[in-house]
Amino acid sequence: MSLFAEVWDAVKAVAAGLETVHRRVKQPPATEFYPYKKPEIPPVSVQFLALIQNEDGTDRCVACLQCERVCPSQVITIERKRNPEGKGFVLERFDLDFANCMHCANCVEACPVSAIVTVGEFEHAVYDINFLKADKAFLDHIGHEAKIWYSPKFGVEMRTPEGKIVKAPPEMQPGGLAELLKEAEGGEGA
Amino acid sequence: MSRMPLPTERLVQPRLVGYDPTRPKPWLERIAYALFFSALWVMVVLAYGVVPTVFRHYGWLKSPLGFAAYAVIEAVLAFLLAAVVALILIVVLRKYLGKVQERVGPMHYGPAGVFQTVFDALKLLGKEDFAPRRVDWLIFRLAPAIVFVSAFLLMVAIPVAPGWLIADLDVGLLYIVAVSTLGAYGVVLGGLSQGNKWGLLGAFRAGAQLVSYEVPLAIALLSVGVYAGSLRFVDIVEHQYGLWHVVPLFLSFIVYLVASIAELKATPFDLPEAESEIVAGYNTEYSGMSFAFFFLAEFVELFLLPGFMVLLFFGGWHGPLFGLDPTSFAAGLLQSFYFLVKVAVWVWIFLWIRATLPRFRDDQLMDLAWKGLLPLSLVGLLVAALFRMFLEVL
Repeated sequence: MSLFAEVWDAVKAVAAGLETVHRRVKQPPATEFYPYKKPEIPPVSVQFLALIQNEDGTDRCVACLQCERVCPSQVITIERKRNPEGKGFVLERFDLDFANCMHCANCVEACPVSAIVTVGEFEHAVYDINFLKADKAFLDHIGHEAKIWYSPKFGVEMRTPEGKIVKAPPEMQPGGLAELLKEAEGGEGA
Repeated sequence: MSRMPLPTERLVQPRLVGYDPTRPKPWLERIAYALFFSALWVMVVLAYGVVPTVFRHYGWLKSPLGFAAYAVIEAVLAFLLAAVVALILIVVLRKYLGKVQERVGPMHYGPAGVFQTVFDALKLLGKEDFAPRRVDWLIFRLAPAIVFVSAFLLMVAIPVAPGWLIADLDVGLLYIVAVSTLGAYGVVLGGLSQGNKWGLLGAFRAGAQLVSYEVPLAIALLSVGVYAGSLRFVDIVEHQYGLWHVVPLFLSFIVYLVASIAELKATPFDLPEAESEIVAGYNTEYSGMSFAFFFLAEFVELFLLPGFMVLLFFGGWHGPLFGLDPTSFAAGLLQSFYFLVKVAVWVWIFLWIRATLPRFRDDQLMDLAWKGLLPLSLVGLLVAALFRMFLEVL
């Protein structure tokens, strides 16, 4: 390759770079304004755990101790007593030590009634590790504040503005969009 | 048991001061930049136009007292101009690099973050000016001064309009070569004196870069001098009526462009302060105002080297005058405006190149300078001499 061809190649490469850079000036920034604008994180990603109560204010939890049994870090502590009005148990205490929790969400998978769920809430950094101990009131509060949550048994559920709990539409379910597309393709094929 | 705080009870709630970056206001940004440019123009008019004209008109320069007053006033004005230039260029650079990298850049202080530099300067003023135990104290303290003074002295030589200049130097080209080389001395001494391996490496690289780019730069300037037949900036600019020097002296222009980027220590040639390789190079151990002076000098040079380029190759203050008398004050205002606009365009192109190209290696820079730029600048000198000969014959 002659010297002039080499120089011409270099000039062309620099010009292409300059053109690319100038095109990127006009593109909108990809910046997240996080502390001022909280991003909506899908609840399917395990960010935080919450206890869900029914619409009438009773616990969904039936105190079956499945989550306590399955928890690999053994951070869940449940105390229960016999239900005086009928069969089953009622919760007396539900403690969750987030300092040792590894956010594996095995408790969510094990829960037979979808009482403990994953939510998109994530801002729970504290200055003292001793503050990272959640009790039932705290988990209930998170559950009340949550607009949308996920459990493998019921899928993504959401709370309407009137306070009713409904199942989210299929496009918000994990893999729901893919299933919709599959049905559409199958319909076309058949 | 201590209770886990709810999100609403957190100790630190994020809050915005003033401008809301989530709702950008581009018009406010443009007004702010227009105000910046007007401030720069006012400073240039004051420093280069009003004060020298008044002093020359009343003949105060002939008495020693008048000359001393002129020197003091001009020094203060030039320092203010340098500060304004640095404040503007730093925020422009950061916003431009942010846009290129699809970020927002500074955004909190002032509309769209245009007052960020003011707060940065206040922060640097408040910091301790620390010197490690092993430094060579005198040279360590002198180096930022040398760097800044060399950039500062270059401002004397610039004419912004006919008759608007601080000192009318007969050897302006020689002066800028000499003084800008002095700045490289400051960089080398600052790197060597701090007893730090990164500083030492930065100083080595600065020295190697200095001897590499200064020779082609000086020859490119010489070719302009040969073609114009004078080393005075005013004569060079007057010589460009009809045809800007960039057309006949294109080779010298290319050499000047590349070499001045090397002199700026901007990104394709930012070897002395390569942040990703040697921590900050020659200014690793500097903090507080010493560091600020290095920074100030860098951005003053970012304004001055495109300024010299405009003077030498792009007709300086030439532009349509709409029938004004070229020596009147109104024409001076207009011509200094043309000069500043040309400089602003070239500053933008410098920033554009800086945002585009990756860093050269040491040996590649010297390869380019000695095997590429030096022969090119000699050819440019030859071309300039030939054109000059034709001009003389015709």
